[in-house]
Amino acid sequence: MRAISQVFASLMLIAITLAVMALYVVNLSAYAGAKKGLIYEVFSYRRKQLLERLSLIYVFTNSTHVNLVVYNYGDVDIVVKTILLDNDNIPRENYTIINVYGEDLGDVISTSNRLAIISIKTGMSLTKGVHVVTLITESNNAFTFTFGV
Amino acid sequence: MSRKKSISNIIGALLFILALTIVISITIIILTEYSKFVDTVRYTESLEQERDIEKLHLSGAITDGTLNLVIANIGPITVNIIDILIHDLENNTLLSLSNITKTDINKVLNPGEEASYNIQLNSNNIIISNSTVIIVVTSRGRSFTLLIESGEAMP
Repeated sequence: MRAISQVFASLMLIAITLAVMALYVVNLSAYAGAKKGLIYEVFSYRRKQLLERLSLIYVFTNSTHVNLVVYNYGDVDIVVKTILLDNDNIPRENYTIINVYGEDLGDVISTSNRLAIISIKTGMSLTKGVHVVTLITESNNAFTFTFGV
Repeated sequence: MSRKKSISNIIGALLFILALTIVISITIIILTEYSKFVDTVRYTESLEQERDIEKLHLSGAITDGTLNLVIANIGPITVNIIDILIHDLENNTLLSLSNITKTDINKVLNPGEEASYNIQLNSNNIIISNSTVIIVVTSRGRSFTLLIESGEAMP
């Protein structure tokens, strides 16, 4: 009786372990495949921040606007969330992002439209000297550029 | 009594195997993601290093509405020219050469190589003055400028 119960216990142990492991492996592969979850999010968020790359190509101004020519040389699309000019927040209606053909890009400087012109309506000429513009992206990257007028 | 003992052994062993599986799988996921993260850091570092050593020399002039531009790669790495922008200083307008010519001006320059452009600027209702800034944009997000005043390149 004792020997039978030990064999039975071993078989039960193996069966239950295999069942639980199979369930776990299925869930684990679904987790890895979905690319969701805390561990994935922590690393992928930081990776996306690193892959966002933006450079200032050129700046030209007129009496009412500052035009920044920027280039996305990273591997991911850049979504511009906020623009600060000399630490002042520029309202969304006061700037546009277009490509070199004049087409509106919305808020996205994509990898298929890397060269973009950000036209900021200042309403008046910028004072002579050095100015600072900061672009904050959806991934909370801040790209700060200085330029002279 | 012995049945109870064997059941508690089963539960104990089961919990141990389960804990071991969870720890191993979480470790594998963390290591995989960390490895991807390290690869990304290395990639971006190498991209920034390559950006820093890109070097182009521009020369040219605007004669009778035609831009004659020579771009020489004087750096140690291959440079991919994405676009050439023209800032007309008299009209304060910015135009893309690929937009003016309606052709792809993308060129790959190996170290020591040169590219020449002879482009008719004043066509298709576009008039560009003789005072301009030529801006060459590369795929690594660098820009190189040439100031042309009264048709002649300024040093």
